[in-house]
Amino acid sequence: MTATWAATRFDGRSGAGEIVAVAIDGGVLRLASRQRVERYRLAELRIAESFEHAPTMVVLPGGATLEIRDPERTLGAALAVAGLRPSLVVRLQRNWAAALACLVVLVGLLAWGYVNGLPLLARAVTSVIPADVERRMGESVLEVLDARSLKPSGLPLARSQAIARAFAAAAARSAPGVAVRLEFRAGPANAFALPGGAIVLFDGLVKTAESDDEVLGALGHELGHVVHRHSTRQFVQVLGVAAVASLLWGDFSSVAANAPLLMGAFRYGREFEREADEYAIAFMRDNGMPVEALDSLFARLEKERGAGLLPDFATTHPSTAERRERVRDASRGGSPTR
Amino acid sequence: MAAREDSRHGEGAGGGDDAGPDHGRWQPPAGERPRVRGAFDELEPGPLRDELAGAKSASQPLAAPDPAEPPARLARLQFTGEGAEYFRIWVVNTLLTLATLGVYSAWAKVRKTRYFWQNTRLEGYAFDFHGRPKAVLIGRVIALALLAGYSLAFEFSSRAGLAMIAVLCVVGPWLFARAQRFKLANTSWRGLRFGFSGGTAEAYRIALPPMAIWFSGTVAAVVADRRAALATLAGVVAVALVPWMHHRLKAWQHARATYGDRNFAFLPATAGFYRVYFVAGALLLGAGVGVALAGVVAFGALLGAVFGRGESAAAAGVGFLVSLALFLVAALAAWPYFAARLQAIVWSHTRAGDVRFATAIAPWPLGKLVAKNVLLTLATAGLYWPFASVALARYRIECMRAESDEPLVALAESTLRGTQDASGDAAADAFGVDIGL
Repeated sequence: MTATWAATRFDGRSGAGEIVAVAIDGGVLRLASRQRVERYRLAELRIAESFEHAPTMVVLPGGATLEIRDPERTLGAALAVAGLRPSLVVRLQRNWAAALACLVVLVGLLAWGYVNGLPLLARAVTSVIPADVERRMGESVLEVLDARSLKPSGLPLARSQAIARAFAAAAARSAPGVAVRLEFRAGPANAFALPGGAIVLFDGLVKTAESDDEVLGALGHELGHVVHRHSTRQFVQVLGVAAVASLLWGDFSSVAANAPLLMGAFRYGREFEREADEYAIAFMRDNGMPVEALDSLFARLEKERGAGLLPDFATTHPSTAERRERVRDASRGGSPTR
Repeated sequence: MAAREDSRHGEGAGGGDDAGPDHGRWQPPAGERPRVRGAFDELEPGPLRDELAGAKSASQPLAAPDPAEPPARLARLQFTGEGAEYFRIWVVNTLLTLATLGVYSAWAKVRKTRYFWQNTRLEGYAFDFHGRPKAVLIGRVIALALLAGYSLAFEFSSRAGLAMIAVLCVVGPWLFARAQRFKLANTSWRGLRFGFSGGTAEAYRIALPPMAIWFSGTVAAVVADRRAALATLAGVVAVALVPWMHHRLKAWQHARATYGDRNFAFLPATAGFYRVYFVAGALLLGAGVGVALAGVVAFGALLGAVFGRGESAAAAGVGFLVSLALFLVAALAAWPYFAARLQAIVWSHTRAGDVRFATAIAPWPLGKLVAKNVLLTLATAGLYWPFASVALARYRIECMRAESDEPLVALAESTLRGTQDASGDAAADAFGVDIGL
């Protein structure tokens, strides 16, 4: 009267199998072949999680195995009656509603991780990266840029030295103990910060600016990137996105896995620009320079050029209007905050 | 399907539908499905056909297997997995992996491997995988530590980098052998484990020369103080020897595989490897020229954008997308050719005693499948990925054939090696490293 299943019993010592009938009865699994009947308590068996179209694999004490045919999928229910419930994970993945709920949680987790988790993680990871390693990273980037595309600055030496001196003094006041180094190169109205504290200033920005205050404002913004270690954090974040993407779709297609990475690279640019702008405002105040100089520089830069692709000083996201708004708010606010 | 499964479920009865009651030898090359049944049907009734059909009367329908039919000599692997089922497994696995910051990936890996093996059948019997998740986890930690060490060492100093290369050369071959052993010794069919008999000394003899050649460029660059010519020469030599290295490792993997007391063997195929690499390289190069052109445009525009001309940003974006699309096309053209032809060569040179293997996998159908998988996966933001995995596994697995002069049921007569224990290779249980070869 109890249900039976057809199975093959392998002794684990040879590939020859023996056809047996399997029955489950009150916590006991009974095996009947032509020659004999064996009984095992379910507790002493290792019964693998079974899949819809696959046989159920059971390891008997001593290493013999059973391959149970279960085309009607009735074995699981019989085992459950005998007190052997599948694990939570198995129950989740057998049930469409549960699996879809897991998908919703997964998407939520990914979204949270992307917006909040990853920046936090990047900050933590960056804080343990030795300054020496960061400096080396920056140096190798500048080396590559110098070899490929950058040209030496055409500024008169006196001018560049004056800027360097003024900036060094201001940086020492605003960010004491932060290693920062100014590099002059020929190029358009722009500046960018590298990991490890190198700031590259292009001649074009010095020429576009109407006053040294404006140049220092731009350098204050770049100093903000340095102080917050933005380029290293950005690097870690992009690595983080790549790691998650390869967890999700790894060993399938590097293109599919890399697409989120490109999106990630642009998403984080804005946050950091905003932070650097805020730093620049504080930097101007600390050094007794007019915050309005930032506003006038933004206005001039906006006239001169359109959108930039890399997160650098002149990038237009966040939009110049928004940036100028904040700077003007700050200059109305008056007294230094730090 | 299930009912048929049951009716077939006797000792050695029935492989794939095409295998049927066939006495005729099926010959590689593996370009198309064997047409054994058709050939048999065309035989006129008479002594020859009676002989081929064995004891069975010629009037009986040939398609329906019956117990009296002679045992099969040709078998195809069957795959019974389904995308919808694997999708649910994948979702749960992925969620838990992410929620545990990757720790659960070891458990996920074991469940995934068991899903694909248990849904793979040969002669009506499923394969099984017995690897322990904790062993996989330990292996992943080791692999991650080595990878991180290697990628960071040169950031500290050249000496640290060279030391890391030395470490890799010392542990690499041993890890490679352990990975093979973990994979095979934890796989079973008919309750009997596969195994890997390659020893540690042999691992060093086989794997050390390729590793030394591979790292020679890096070492030359450091030791010769960045003298470009020497490093370039070493790099060129390394690239020219890639097919040789690949063949050397693959041959060892297959030649040292075991099933019970049965040893696998591998017939040398270095020339075949070179041919496949050469053609795939040419395909990639052809498409690569297009990619390079688009890339030059994109890079130029990117430089323009860096130096502040706004309209260049859009041009860079377009150029980048074009080169990405071209890269996809190039990869889609070259990869299926490479994968299909290489698989065909590897399996047609593999033996297990008198059992021969072959795969009917071919570049065009594989390419179509991969293109469909990539497009649907991109279009569904990755949700098609489990369906894609199942579809690819089904194609690859169902292309496989095993063939023998002796009835295949002789495989069942394989027995355990004298020194082995039925519960498997204890050493292989310690940890499992994924090495994707």
